[in-house]
Amino acid sequence: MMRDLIVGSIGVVLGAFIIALCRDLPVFIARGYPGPSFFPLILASVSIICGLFLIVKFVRNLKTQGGRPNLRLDVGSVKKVFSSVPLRNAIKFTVMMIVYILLIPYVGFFLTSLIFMFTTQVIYGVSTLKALAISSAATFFIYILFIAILKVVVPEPILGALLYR
Amino acid sequence: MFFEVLQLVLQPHVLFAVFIAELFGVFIGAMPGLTATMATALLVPFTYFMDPIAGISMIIAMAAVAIFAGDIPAVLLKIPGTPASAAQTIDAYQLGRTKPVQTLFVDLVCSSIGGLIGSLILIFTSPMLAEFAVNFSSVEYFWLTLWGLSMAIVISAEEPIKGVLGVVIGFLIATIGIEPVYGYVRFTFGRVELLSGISFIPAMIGLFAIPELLKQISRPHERYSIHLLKGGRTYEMVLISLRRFKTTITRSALIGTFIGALPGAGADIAAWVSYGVAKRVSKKPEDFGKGSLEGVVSATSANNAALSGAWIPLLVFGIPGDSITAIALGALMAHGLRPGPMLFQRHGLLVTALFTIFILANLMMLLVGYLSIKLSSNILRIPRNVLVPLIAVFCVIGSYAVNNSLFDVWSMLLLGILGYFMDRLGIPIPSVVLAIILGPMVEFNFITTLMKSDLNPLIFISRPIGAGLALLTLLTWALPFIRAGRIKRLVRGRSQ
Repeated sequence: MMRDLIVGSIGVVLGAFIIALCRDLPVFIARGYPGPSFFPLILASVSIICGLFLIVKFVRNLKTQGGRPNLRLDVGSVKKVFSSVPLRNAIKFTVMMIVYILLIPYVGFFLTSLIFMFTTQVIYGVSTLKALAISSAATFFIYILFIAILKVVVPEPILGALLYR
Repeated sequence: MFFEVLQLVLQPHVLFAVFIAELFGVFIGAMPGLTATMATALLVPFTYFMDPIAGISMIIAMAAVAIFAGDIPAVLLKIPGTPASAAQTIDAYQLGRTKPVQTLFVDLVCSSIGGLIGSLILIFTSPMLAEFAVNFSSVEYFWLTLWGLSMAIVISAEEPIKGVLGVVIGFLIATIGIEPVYGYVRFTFGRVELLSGISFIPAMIGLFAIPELLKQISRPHERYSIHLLKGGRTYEMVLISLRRFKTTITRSALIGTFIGALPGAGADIAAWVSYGVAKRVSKKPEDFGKGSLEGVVSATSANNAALSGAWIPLLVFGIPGDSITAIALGALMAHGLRPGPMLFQRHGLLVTALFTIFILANLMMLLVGYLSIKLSSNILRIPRNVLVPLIAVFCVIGSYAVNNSLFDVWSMLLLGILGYFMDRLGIPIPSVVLAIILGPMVEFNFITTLMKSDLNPLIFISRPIGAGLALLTLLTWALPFIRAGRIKRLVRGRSQ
């Protein structure tokens, strides 16, 4: 049920944010001509209405269960959620992807991809040798597919260009 | 015309593309947790570099095989490979305990027949519907898209209100960039990259693939160990099953195609409905859920037929029938093809070629399916910690390749993280995606209709077809409430 409160709050905040963004755009261009913020404003209103509906539903559910809305931040339960293995794994993987994408312009696509695949596999329990073999084979396959066949221009390493200069 | 179409379809590179796509479909479909939708999203960047026939053929072929391949872990492990295989999983597994190879072969042949029946319906009905749709104005298109979105919300969302919120989020993402009526710049925060809006393909990859990868990596060491039992008369069992269940297969394929053609309802719903109908009319309903071959046959024929059915609203009205066709719409648009009645007039040859591909893909599925059954135990043994990093790299290069832009890669990752949390909070991702695709169309039709009428909202029900579609949309929203009221009355009646 807590999800209703979270989604409802997101709906309200999102709607308010869109309304704030629409301030610089005209609602009507001329009489009878809806402007560029007309449609987004309708969406913002729907978002707020949906959000409020979910918040009211959350409060009503609490009342029928005889409880009182406890909106205090329970540090223990938050800690428990974030220390759960599945979420920790997902966060770890997201951080690795962020680092991977950040490094692409500096190190180049192929080397970064090789390092990313190798490191991720090792971190998640694949043996070093196996991870190296799989990552190398995959990088070679990607090179053949994207460079040789599809002729995609992949990011060149800035560091490499500096070295050549 | 016929020979021209054959010349187009039977080109070696098209046949090769179909074959490769089907192998890819087997691989993704057979992996529990990896869906056909995700596979389609990953495939789209490749299609971008091909001619339209080869590119779209890949999507059609891959989806057909992925849906069948979803039945492989259902038979061997009691885990549906894709949501479309969920309906028959228990029966398929019970049968698979003693006759896994035979069950898979019956499943394969029925999938192919279901797909072929669906394709024939698509071929014969869509040109007629397209002629009818030529007279549609912005009013009809507005209601049609709204009805499609409503169906997606009501059918797929855990809670319709969260589905609405998903659609709003999708629409808002679609409003970024130059707005479609006057050309105003909206919500770009001064970023030049956002002028043309959020790129469609990175958004698809992000929303469909990244949440799946994050879920899969949560259990990095998961792998399955199975051995296929050999023996038994496979071909005999297939023939006997076909003869015995010919009515079930035909009926299920018809149901599947019809449900697939409804905007928002996909192969999974088609399989459930068809399974339910088969149980109701069966002579042995007590066997369902305990290893009924009839149950397996009905669901598997329906889910493959639904795939073809979903292309009917896409090709005729430009409204996707499910999330796979939603991505296919993006691929068609990337090739400069705008689905709708005019597609049949302007690109008749291409449409006929695509119809032929449907037949070809479903026939070729027999060969690829045969190989996949033989290799199934090897596919299922690949652990998550090996697979997920490889797919992640494909997500990155796939998002980058479309515009050669790292900004697209960041959009993909950001939307992926957003998708992961939306999924956890119960906001349905397919609704978000459908809204991103249909957003510009809805806004354009809505605003131009209002402009035509000097802001008089009655224009939306001024034309008979428009009014009919409006009524249909209202009914779609009313149905869950009517059903809930009925259940309440029933419960009250019983308690009294």
